[in-house]
Amino acid sequence: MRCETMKNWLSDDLDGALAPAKKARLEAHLRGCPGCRAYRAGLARLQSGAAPAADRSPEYWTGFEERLGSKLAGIELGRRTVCVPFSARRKWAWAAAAFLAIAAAGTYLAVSRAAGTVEMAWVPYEDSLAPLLQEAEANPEFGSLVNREILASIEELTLVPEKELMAPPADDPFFWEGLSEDELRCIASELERATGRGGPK
Amino acid sequence: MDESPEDDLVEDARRGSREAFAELVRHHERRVYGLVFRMAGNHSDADDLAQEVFLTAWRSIASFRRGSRFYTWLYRIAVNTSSTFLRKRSREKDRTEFNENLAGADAAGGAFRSPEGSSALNELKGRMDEAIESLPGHFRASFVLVVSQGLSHAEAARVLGCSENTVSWRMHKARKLLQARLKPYLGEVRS
Repeated sequence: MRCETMKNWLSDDLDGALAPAKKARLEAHLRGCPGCRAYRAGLARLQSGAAPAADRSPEYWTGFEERLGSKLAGIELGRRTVCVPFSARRKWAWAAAAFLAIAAAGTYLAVSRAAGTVEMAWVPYEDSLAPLLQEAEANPEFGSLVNREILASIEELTLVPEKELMAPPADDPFFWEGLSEDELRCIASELERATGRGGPK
Repeated sequence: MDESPEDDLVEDARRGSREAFAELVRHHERRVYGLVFRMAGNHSDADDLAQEVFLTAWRSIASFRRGSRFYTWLYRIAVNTSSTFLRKRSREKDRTEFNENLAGADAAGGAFRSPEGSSALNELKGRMDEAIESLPGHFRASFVLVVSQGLSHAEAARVLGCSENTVSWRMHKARKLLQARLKPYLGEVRS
C-alpha cells in the first residue's frame, strides 16, 4: 500500500507536480526501497521513449495550411448560406406550422358548425365583481367589508369539505344512505356479534 | 507563448478575420498535430484530424470565451475530435475483425515482438506509439498532454475538464499500463 502511494508520487514527481514536502518523504522512501527505485528507473526509460512526434517537413506544413485555407473559404461561403433568412430548414418549419394552423382552424369550424352557434358565456359587467371592487376602492369602510366577505367566502369554500371529512360518520344523518346493502349487512353482523344487538336494518 | 498578441489575433478571428485565424493556425499547428498524432497513432489520420480540429475551431470561434487560454480551448477541441475518431475507428475495427474472423494470436495478444536483434532504445521508441495507442482514451489523452505536449497537470485538467487529482491518477495508471506493456523493452534499455 505504501509503495503504491509512492509510485503515484513518483509519477507526479516526473511531471513536476509533487509538493516539496512529499518529495522529501519520497526520497527517504526510495533510499530504503529497491522495488520503488527500480520502478522509478523504468518510468525514466518510459519518459525517454515518449519523445514528441517527429516534426514534418516545411513543405508538409505549407501544404497543410493551403488545404486548410481552401476549406475555410468553403466554410465562409457556408456561413453566408446559413445566414440567409429563409434557409431550407426554416422554410420547412414554416410550412409545417402553417399546415398545423390551417388544420386547427378547419377542425374548429367543422366542430362549431356541427354544434350550432358557439356563444361565449361572458359574465355581464354588472354581475361581475368589478363594480363592487371599484366601489370598495372609493370607500375604505365598504372596502374592508368586502374584504371580510371575500375572506369568509374563501374560508367557507376551503373549510367546509374538511369539516365534512372530519365529522364522524355516526354524526352524519345521511351516512347510512350512502352505504350499499352488503356494507349494511356487514356492519349489522359485526354489531350483533359485538353487542348482541343488530344494527340498522 | 506570448499571450497579448495572441489575444489580439483571437479577437480579430472572432470578428471573422481569416488572416488572423491563419496566423493562429501557424502558431499552434505543430502542437495540435503532435497531440492528434499521439492519439491516432499514424500520420494519415493525424493529418485529417488536425485539419478537422482547426475547421471546428474556426466554425465555433465565436463561442470562445475571452479570458480563457486559446490553446487550452484548442486542445480541448483536439482531444474531443480525436476521442470521437477513436471511438468510430474502434467500432469499425471490431466490425472488421468480426467479419474477417481475424482473432489471431497477434491481435489478441498485443503484438509486441521480442526486442532481440535491434537497439533496445530504438525498439522502445518504436513500440511506444503502439503502447500509447493501446491505452484507454482518457489515459491516453492525459499522457499525451502531459508527457508529449509538456502541459502541467493543472493545464491538462483544464483541457480535459476534470480535476488535477484525476489527471494525476490517470498519469499514474497510464504509466503502470505502459510499463506492463513495454516491460521486455524497458529492461534492455541503458540510457
